[in-house]
This record gives sequence, structure tokens and C-alpha cells, in this order.
Amino acid sequence: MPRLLAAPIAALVQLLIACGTILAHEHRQVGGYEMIVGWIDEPAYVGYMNGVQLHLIDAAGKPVLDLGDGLKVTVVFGNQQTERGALTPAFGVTSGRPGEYRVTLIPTRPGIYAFRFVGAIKGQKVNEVFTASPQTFDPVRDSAEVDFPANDPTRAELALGLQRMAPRLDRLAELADQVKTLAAFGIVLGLVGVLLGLRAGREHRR
Amino acid sequence: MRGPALIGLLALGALAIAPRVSAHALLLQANPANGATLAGPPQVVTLTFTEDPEPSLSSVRVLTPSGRQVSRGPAQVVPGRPSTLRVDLDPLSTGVYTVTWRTVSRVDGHVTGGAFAFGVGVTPSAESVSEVTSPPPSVLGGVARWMLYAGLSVLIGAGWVWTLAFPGAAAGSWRILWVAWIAAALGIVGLEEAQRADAGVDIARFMQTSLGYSLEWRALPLVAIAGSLVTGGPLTGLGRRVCLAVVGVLTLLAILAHIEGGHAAAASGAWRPVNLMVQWLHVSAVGAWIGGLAALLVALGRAPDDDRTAAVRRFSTVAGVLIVVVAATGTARAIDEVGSWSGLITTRYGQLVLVKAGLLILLGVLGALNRYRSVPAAARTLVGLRRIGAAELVVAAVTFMIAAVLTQSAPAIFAVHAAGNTTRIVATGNDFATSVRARLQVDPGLPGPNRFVADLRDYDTGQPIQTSRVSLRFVSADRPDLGPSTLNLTRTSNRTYQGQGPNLSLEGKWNVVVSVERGVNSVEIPLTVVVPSQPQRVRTIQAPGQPTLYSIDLSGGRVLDAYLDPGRAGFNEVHATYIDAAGRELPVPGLATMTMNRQGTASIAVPVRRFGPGHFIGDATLGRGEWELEIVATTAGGEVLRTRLTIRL
Repeated sequence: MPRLLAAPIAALVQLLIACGTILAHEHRQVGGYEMIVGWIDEPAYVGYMNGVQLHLIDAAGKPVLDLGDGLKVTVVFGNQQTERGALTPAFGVTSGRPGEYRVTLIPTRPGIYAFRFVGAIKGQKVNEVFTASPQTFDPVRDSAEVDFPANDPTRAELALGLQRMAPRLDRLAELADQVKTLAAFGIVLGLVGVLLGLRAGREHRR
Repeated sequence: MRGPALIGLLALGALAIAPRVSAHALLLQANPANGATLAGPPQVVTLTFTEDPEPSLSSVRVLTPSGRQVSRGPAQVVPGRPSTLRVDLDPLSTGVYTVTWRTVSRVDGHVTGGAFAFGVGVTPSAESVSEVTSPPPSVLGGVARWMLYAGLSVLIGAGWVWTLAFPGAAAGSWRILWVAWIAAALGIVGLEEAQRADAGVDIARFMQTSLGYSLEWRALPLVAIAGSLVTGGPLTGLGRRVCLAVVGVLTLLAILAHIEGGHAAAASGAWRPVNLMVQWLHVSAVGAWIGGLAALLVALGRAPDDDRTAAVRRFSTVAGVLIVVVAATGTARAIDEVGSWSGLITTRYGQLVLVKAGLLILLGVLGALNRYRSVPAAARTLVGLRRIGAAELVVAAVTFMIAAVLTQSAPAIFAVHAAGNTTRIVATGNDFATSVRARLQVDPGLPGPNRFVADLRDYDTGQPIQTSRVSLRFVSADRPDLGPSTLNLTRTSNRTYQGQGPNLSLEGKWNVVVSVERGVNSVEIPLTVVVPSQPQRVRTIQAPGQPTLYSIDLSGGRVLDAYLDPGRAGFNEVHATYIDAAGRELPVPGLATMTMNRQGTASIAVPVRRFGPGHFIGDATLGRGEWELEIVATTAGGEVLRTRLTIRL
């Protein structure tokens, strides 16, 4: 009995996992195709390998297996963007999920990212922007909430920290120079004072 | 030594001159409270304000989420409590209700409005964030008050200077008194129009209100003053001086009528006449000082003689006394209305008081110059006296303008009282890279809907930062199974970021991450906020020979009944029974937890055993004094019921 149930249960679990993935993505009808877009791994954390995931289904509900290199994706963050080139299939003859295409990326800053798809799907022109939101796919976040046992800073935080540190060190060095100058001035003044004191003492003795 | 002492007194007075101000009827307390979750439907809503509202111009409406009004009839003053309005309600069912209110202060006619929500059997939704609005100071109201102050000052100043200090001047220009009278009369008309426009009613209705009556009382002495001016105009010598004295006395009455319709009259009990007297002395002294100076300068002419020199000395002596009175009474009133050093610095009202204080110090310096340089030289020349005196009048005119703005602002002490009505939470922190400091303010700081205001500043410079997007991510530290939620904030005009939502849905500890997006400098700032429990309604039932029963209302009509047996110092059994809305024992699958602590000490865990499906007993040995008892249970649905109770043994 357990063996009889094993296969259906495994299929159900697989289906649930697949559904879970798709639920965290944005679904959009573009011509005769449905584009399902999101991060490869969600939630998406700063500094960890991830990427743009596109699941493409045609009007008959079948996965599109031969996208070719006509569709390119650009990742946008704030006023910056990077063209990641053509999407590559994430499936083989017997592996992966048919119709799934990917472009890898390591998000290095937290926040809301957008994916712009430009090109064509079998002659169907595409120019679509997918933006992270509570209704679509996740913004990128810091990994602090899942770090264990220590909550280490990300590379981005370290880089920004070093960037902020440099001008502070410059200011401290400048301050140290001023202190040195003042100290030298104080030493000279002290010496003059001692000399004047000695002279005054000598005159007093006379 | 007299010089520094005088300047010191002036500085003290600078803190004081703020006083002649009015206030706003701000919401002090509401029943049901903002954000409250009630077990049963209330029959009335009562709102208590910081000042008495004018009921005929004020409104309180209670609405369902669909906008249907469930309040009956107009708002009425609760007998014996003039600062409290009540409105009766239709029978309410389970749901969220929004209370919108708008008041016109009986004291000064200022309009304030707001909205909040409460729930019957359910936690209120986002509408429960309290909104309070008040129109900005009106230009007409400010100009009207300035004219009133200036006119009355000249009338009272001429009243004493031209009769006592410089009797010979009574024969001089009568026209200036008419100008002052017209200014004061226009001031009252302008005040009426400004208050009527704020209230949004026609003049006939406005004059039937307490504000209309108040303005009539202010106008009456002015009418009498006009009669004296008409009578005294053709007279000379003693007759004219008598008329002038009458004008002075009537102006003092006009000031009293004005005070009676101002904020000093808002006090209650034995302090009311004291407040009125202090305020009346203050305004009268300011008028006599500044108006007297104007009257003196008008009458002096350019060439000195013995009479003029003597008049200048007499005025200077009296002015010295008036400045002391202004300083003392002003300080008293400022303390009453500002209330604290922080109120002086952090509130708009307090800042205006500081500006006014600076102007008064300047006036004091100019006065001291006149007293110690120009007055001794008055026998030879009046040029210095006239120049410095004119400068004093210019500064005084600006000071009156500040006073006119102040009268239309809510005093700091009321702002603090109104703000104190909430349990605001403030959390601060910075990102790991120490690039941004964040200060997050949560109002009202209770479970349910809240307003979030984030102040983001550069870590080094303290300047507000520019950013394209700010959001908050919430994760309950006590219930991580709830999953995170996000709230986007929008930029406001004062360079903070604001939003509202029900993200802090439970009491307890929450991890809040402020996500600041600005390109490669994007950061996340982790903060921790602890949300206190909703204020609980506890009914105490005492019966002879029985332990005191504490019945604590929970959401959804549920109740926790608790008592200590025997309820004396020593060993006690702490009984806690959860009851559902139908009055049956509410099954609680897991053991409830109980902790007890005295104020300021660590909590003691109380061993608990089950006595029934929803009945638990804790065994505790307690000393005499006040104890805080916390009982926490989790329902079958996973809801955490957390109750706190203060017990005195």
C-alpha cells in the first residue's frame, strides 16, 4: 500500500512545489502567449546567486520549447540597468521544467527590481516590464532574517561601510594633523615660557 | 546694578509675553477610544476636548464602513461637563465604525476636526488611525487681532498719559484716539468674520452662538468709548481729562471682555479668576506701556520745556513698573500654556513664544536706553527719545503681529495633552554600513492599524536623505509563522516618509526592516518595536466573603474571569477561566502561562495546572503590595490571548 501511494504523493508534492514557485511570479498574457516571470529563487536575498526566470506557455497551454535567442532581458534597479542577453532554456529532454528559461544574476542591493523583456516569441513582438511588488514577485531583501547562527553583513553592506569609512578616516587624519600642529605650537610656546621664566628668575636674583 | 537687573527682568518677561493666546478644542479623550475593540455595542459616543466646544457649531457623526450614519441627532454637551460632547447611537452590530468630529471652540472660535474608528467584536481596520486637522491661522483673523491690540493700546495709553503723566497734552490731537477706536472696531468686525468663516455658518446663526455673544460683549465698551470721545472732543481742560480717564477705564473693561472670550477663560475652578486676572493685568500693562509711549511721543513735540521733561520722567517711572508687571504676568501665562522646556523648543507655539521673547528683549534694551540716556537728556533735547521711542513702537508692532499668530495656534501644553492620548512607539537605528539613521514613529502604537512615519537622515551629516522608495517589512518575532508583510511609504512635504496600515496586527515584539532604495546606496535598517496590548476593560466584582473577581474583556465578546484565592499576602491560587461570547467555557488546548511581577522587578513564572477546558490554576506565594499578573493562552485557532491585570494585596 505505501508503495502504491508513494508515486501519487511524490507527484502531488512536485505539483505543489511547482505551484508554489509560480504563485510567487507575475502572470501576464502577451499576444497568444502567457509569460510567468519572477526570481529563480524566492525570497531573493542580497548577495546570493539568483536570476530571472521566465516560464512560457502558448495559447494551447503547452510549454514553448524553442524560444531561440530572439528574446532578451534587461534587469533594472533604480536608475541602473544591465542587459543580460538572451534567455537560456532551463530544461533538457528529461530534466527541468519544459518552457522555463533563465538568466542568472546576483542581486547586490536590497529593493525593488524590474525585468524588461524585449524581442520576439516566434514572431510575436514583446516589450514588457515586470516589476517586483506584493502582487507579483518579491523585492530583494537582506538575508539577516534567515542567517544562522551569525547574522553576517553582506558584501554590499561591507562595501558601503568601507565607502563611508574612507571620508571619515580622511577627516580624522586631517584632525590629527591639526592636533599635531597645535601640539608643536604648544611645545614651542612652552619652551618660550620656560626660557622667559629662567630669564625672569635670573633677573630676580640679580 | 539696576541696569542688569532690569534686563534680567526683561529676559524673564520675554518668556512671558506669549500669553495672550487662545487655543483649539483638541480631542483629549474618546469613549470608545481610538482603535478600541469592544465586546458589546456602545449606546453613546463621548468625546472630551481640551476646551469647551460650541455645541451648535460642532458635530459628531458615527458611520459604518459603507458610510451609513448610525448616530442619532446632533451632538450634545454632557450635563456638568461642558468640554464633553455626546451622541446617541442606533443599535450596532459587529463591525468597524468610524467617528468623525468637527468642533468650534467656545473660547476662540477655532475649528478642529478629526476621525478615528473603533470595532464592535472585531479589530478596527485602517480607518482607526486618528486624523486631526485644524485650519491654518487665517490672515484676516491675524490682521483683525493686530488692529484690536493696537487700537486698545493707544486708547489705554492716551487714557493715562494725557491725564496723569502729561495733563497738558489732553488739549492735543483728539484725532489719533478716533483712529485707534476705528482700528479696534474694525478688529472686532474682522474677528467676527474670521470666526464665522471658520465655523462655516451665516452671520445670523453665528451671532446666536456663544462666540457671537462674546463679540457683542467686546463691542459694548467700544460703543461707550465712542460716546466718551464724542463728549470729550469739544471740551477742554478738566472736562476733557475726565473724558480721557473714562476712555481709559472703558478700555480696561474692553480688554476684560476680550480676555473673557479668550483662552485664559478656558480654565476651570478656582484658577479661572486667577488666570483671568493675570491675563487682564498682562494685556493692560502691555497696552499702557506701548500705547502710553505712542501717546507721549505724539504729544511731546520737538522742543523741550519743563512740562515735557517732567512728563517724560513720570512716564519713564510708570513704564518701569509696567515692564515688571508685563514680565511677571507674562511668565506666569507662558508657564501655564507652554508647560515645559521641550514644549518651548519642539512645538510651533513654543518657537513663536521664543521669537516673541527675542522681540521683548529688544524692546527692553531700547527702553533701557531711553531710561538711562534719553530721559536724563530730555531737558536739553528730545531727539534721542523720539528716535528710540519710534524704534520701540516699530518693534512693538511686530510683536503684536507675532501675538496675533500665536492666538490662532494651539498652545504647546494642549498639543502635548492631545498627543498624550496615544501610546506612540518610536524606534531608532541605522544600517550596518552606518550610512543612514532611521527614526520610525508608530501611532497610535497599538495592535491593528497604525500610522508609520520614518525620518531618514545621513549618518554623518544628519541631513534628510533623498530616496526614490522607502518601504517597511514586518515580521512578528513572537509569531514567525504569520509571515512577513510590507508597507510602502510615501514622501511628505516635511521630508519624512509616511504610510499607514494594519501590519502590526498583534501585540508583542516585531522586527521591522526599513528598506531605503537609492541605487547602489540602497540599504536596509533593522528595527525592533514592541507593541503593547490594547487597553483592557476590567470589571471588578466584590462580594462579602468571596475573593475579588476580575472580569477582563477580550475581543469577540470573550471574557477572562480571574481571581486569587484567598487573595491575601501569602500562598494563593490564581484562577483563570476563559469564557466565550455565548457564556460557555472557552476550550484552550495548551496550558496557559502566568507570570507575576512587582513594578520594576523581574517576572516570576507561576506553575500552572489545568482545572477545566478553559480553566487554569496557578500556585503563587505573593507578598504584600501591587502585583502585575500576565496570563497568556493560545486558542485552538492559534490566536494568542494576552491579558494583564494589576492586583493589590
